[in-house]
Amino acid sequence: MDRAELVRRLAAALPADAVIHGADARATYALDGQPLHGAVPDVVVLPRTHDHVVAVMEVARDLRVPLVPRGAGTGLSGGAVATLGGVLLSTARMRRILELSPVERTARVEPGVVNADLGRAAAVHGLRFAPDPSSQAACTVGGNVAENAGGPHTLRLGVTTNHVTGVVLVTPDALTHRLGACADAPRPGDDSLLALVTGSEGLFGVVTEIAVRLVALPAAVRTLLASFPTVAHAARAVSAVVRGGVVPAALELMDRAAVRAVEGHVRAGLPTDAGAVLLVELEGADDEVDDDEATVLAILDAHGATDRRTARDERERALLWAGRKQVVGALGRVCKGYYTHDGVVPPSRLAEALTRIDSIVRRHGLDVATVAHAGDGNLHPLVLFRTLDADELARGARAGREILETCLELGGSLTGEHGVGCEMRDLFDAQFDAATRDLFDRVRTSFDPGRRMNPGKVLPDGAHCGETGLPHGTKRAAGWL
Amino acid sequence: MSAVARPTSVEEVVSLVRAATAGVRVRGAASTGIAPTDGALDLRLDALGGVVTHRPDDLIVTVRAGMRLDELADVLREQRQRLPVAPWPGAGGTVGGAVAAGADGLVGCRGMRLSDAVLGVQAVLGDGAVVRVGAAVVKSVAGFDVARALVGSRGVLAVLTEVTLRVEALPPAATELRADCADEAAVAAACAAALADPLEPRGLAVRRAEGHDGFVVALELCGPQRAVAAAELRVAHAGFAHDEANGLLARWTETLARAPHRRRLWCSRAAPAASLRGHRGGVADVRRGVTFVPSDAPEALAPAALWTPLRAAFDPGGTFRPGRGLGVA
Repeated sequence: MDRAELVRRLAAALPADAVIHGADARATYALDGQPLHGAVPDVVVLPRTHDHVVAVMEVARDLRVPLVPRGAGTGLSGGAVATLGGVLLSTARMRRILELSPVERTARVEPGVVNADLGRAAAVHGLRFAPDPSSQAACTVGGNVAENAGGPHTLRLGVTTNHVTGVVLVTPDALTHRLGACADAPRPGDDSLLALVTGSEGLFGVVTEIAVRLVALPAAVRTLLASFPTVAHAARAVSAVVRGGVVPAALELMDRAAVRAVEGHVRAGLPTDAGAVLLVELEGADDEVDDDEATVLAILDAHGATDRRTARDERERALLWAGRKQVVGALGRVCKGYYTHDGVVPPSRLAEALTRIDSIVRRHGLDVATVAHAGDGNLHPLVLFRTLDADELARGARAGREILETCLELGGSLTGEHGVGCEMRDLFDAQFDAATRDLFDRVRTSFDPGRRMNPGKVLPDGAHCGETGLPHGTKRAAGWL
Repeated sequence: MSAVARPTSVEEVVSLVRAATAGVRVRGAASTGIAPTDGALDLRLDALGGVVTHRPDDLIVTVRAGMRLDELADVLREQRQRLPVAPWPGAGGTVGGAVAAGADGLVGCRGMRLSDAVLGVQAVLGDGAVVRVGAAVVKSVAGFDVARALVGSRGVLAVLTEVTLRVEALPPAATELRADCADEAAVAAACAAALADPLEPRGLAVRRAEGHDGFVVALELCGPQRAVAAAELRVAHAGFAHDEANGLLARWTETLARAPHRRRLWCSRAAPAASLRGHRGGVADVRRGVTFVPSDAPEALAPAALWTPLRAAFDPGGTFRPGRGLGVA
């Protein structure tokens, strides 16, 4: 690739401030929210409009260079890293909310709109955008679409794909496709295309507009905290709640290591002597929540809850959630680094999974702290590092692999919400057989015959996630909190 | 005249697809859909039935695609469970047929559609390859969401042989109410009240009344007993009352299933009845913003620039016969 020619063509097609080609400035785009894989893009573009995006796609098409879309770069699987170089297209300047209809309960937004900003705009009308990843203060709706993002409250309300009703997609041939609610009339087949584009991790094109449905803010919310003597007790309680028929808004589990770390940080009032705690949030109509609370409390008691309480007011509720949402940041204070996994198991296998994960990590001489979107079986065990030396990182990698193999063995999945990205190539083969991987590859090339969109992610390209050209020190500074 | 085949195993489906030189048209129990007239194999899946696994504790069931929806409902009811949606046609139709048709039906908790309930599938591609996509857990982003993409794909991408679905617990209480509205403005007011209620409706649909110029709005509520009772009282102010005949939404769903040709229109919540103008047999699904109308008018075609290569990815040899609206060149 002729970098000078690439920069020259992009500079001719875009406003001057939309093309970043200086080495230092480009280096700030070398990483995303995961710490292991970085690469400096050849050029970064910051389009403001759909037409700018089309212009960039034309240049990348003509020069046959890789193109990697990027939202806020908060993803945890390396999806926004330009692994094989090329153009990094940041949607950070496409942040207009184009339309928000309180009556229709829909919104149309540009991809760079921050998740929480859409939430705030909707809240004025008593509505919300349901997906709420922990990075919601920074992550973008476009990034949510690319990764099919989840979050604690998706247990009741569903993940991103359940809320996206349309997109405007620019494919690598620089053609524009208006799909679903972004088209003039309902068309057969649009929902199938939307299903594929959502969660495609930037491999099918760049989305320049997104139509979403909004849902009502609940009339009543109740947040409960329950302590259990062991992780297994808490996990069995989760399974019983799931079976019991009440669908909580959120059903989160934190083990002792997670609770102790966060209590040293925010003092949310979580019990540091418990084996594990559950955070249960119920929502709905007033009497619906009353009855659901009684049902859930009975189940928690029957499964050995030693202490339980209900947040008395919004301040207490906010504090409990601060405890949950700041676990990852708090762990940064008690270890040198950590690695987050995202495996999923059926709720009935949660107790077994957590017990086995604990022994796997210990067998490799490391510690683990676990938070989990337990209601849908989505586990985030954080493998903790003390020294970050090569041996410890290698042991961490082996432990991580065994953790995900355990999730698959128990009938689950490698990733619930973070995406495949560039890090689970071998394990991907364990979840999907050759015929299925072949289909994935053909679906990918049906959108992108040249395999130029976000190469090196999800599917094998003969290239590995590299650290090509990563400036010395970037990894630690940006990655390890 | 086309040959009919009714395979009883995935292996048989594979051999039939591989051997079909004049193409294949896939059907479930043939309860709806178009019989092939072009010499293509009439592949019916109603002999490929039964539950593969039901994990009531995890709210997940995997069935063979030819299982009848009413049989599945019976199996789930034994564990006090049901599908979170009620796709058409309820009786006689198969799970695979409903999924391939994208037959949402008119109800679903928290706005769920059939595609939200499909977690994974096993399918046979046009070249006979057997693939397994998705996962038997409620949340997974591993691999492209091919399972969701097959919902509504009308048999032109793959033969569904197994479907994994999420299920839900039967609610403690459920009720269906109706409001008779004289004009479009009254429909809008009734729907607005139902949508604003803190107990979210499981179904809200509008049809033209039989024999006069008015409209009927049907509303389904479910949840804990007290919550349903309280919501009934609140929406009574907007004209909703118990329907003596009951089962309006189910009957309307069946009407839709029987219509030989349907078309979808956008339906605005601000004026739900407007989408029914000129379409006496139509049904507006207000929550999902879609109106189904019986219509011979050709549907808009799927976007060919994306669908043509996508079909080739699933069916490189063009084995599967074009379905309505998806018959792009």
